[in-house]
Amino acid sequence: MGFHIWVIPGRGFVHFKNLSKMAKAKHIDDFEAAYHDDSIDSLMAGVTPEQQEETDVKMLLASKIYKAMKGKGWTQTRFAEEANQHMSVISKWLSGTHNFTVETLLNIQRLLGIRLMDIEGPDTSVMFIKLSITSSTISAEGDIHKWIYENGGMAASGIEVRKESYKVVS
Amino acid sequence: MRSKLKLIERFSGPKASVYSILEETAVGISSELMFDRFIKRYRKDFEVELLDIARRLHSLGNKTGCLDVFFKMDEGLEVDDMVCALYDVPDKHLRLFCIRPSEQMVIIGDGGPKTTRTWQEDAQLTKSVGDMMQVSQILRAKMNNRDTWVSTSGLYLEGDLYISKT
Repeated sequence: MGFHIWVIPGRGFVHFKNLSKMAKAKHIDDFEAAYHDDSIDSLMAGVTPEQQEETDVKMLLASKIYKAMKGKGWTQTRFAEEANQHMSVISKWLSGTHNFTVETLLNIQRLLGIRLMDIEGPDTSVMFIKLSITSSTISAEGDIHKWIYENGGMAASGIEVRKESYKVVS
Repeated sequence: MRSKLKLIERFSGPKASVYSILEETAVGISSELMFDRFIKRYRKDFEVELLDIARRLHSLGNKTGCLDVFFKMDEGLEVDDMVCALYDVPDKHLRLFCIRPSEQMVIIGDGGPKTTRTWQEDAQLTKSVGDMMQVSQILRAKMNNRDTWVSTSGLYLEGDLYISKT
């Protein structure tokens, strides 16, 4: 049997068998490296954050309903009976594709004993208030920021200096 | 033709990993995901439906995980093949076939508009389901042999992800 030796410039002698393994590994690497398709990115570029949020909410609603149903030990058949609906309707409700009406959500809330619409929760939106402060201890704008922070506020802007006091106007 | 499971990072997230099957289309030159082919084939006529599917895949990965109710289960012909279809949007019938190994993982394939009562009556759907059944069979064999396994987080497939090496 002869010598199966290959010479690769800069890498010396490589035995034929090893070279074969190297070539195979390179071949597989090329297969993955050859992926340059942008179809998914191109498609997702057409999805706005608002559209994604709408889908997320639909699917989270379905997920919450499903988990509550399972939590009660109900099957979809039992849920359909309790809701007085066909099984196909329940499947749609749980599919993450359904556009629920308020009436349907209220019915499901009552049946499963869960909250799906939190409309009575605290309003966490930013509140803008105007106030005037007259103080002998506040002598600089920094003191006003400190006072607001210490009284539960988050930020002040539009501070106007009037004579010897500062007035927060927004 | 060589093929391999490939994670789609665009859809995957903390709740689930979304994979598709990367297939070599020309040796050493180009490769394509089954899902890429699905997009290209139907984008012209079913763009709205495709966008809806893409949004839901993103939600599966990032918000909800792959709950069984989001899929039409038991679409394959074998009891344990895990072949299913993403739930159709009401009145829309673009069907995407998948393999759902767990709530934290889904492998998306190809599909098409379902205009017949069963997928067996449509050549494209029959091919898509057949492809997924074949992938499922290979994957299950690899998992049984411990050549492929699920990561400790439950989110990823690890080990040999090749479906076909030749």
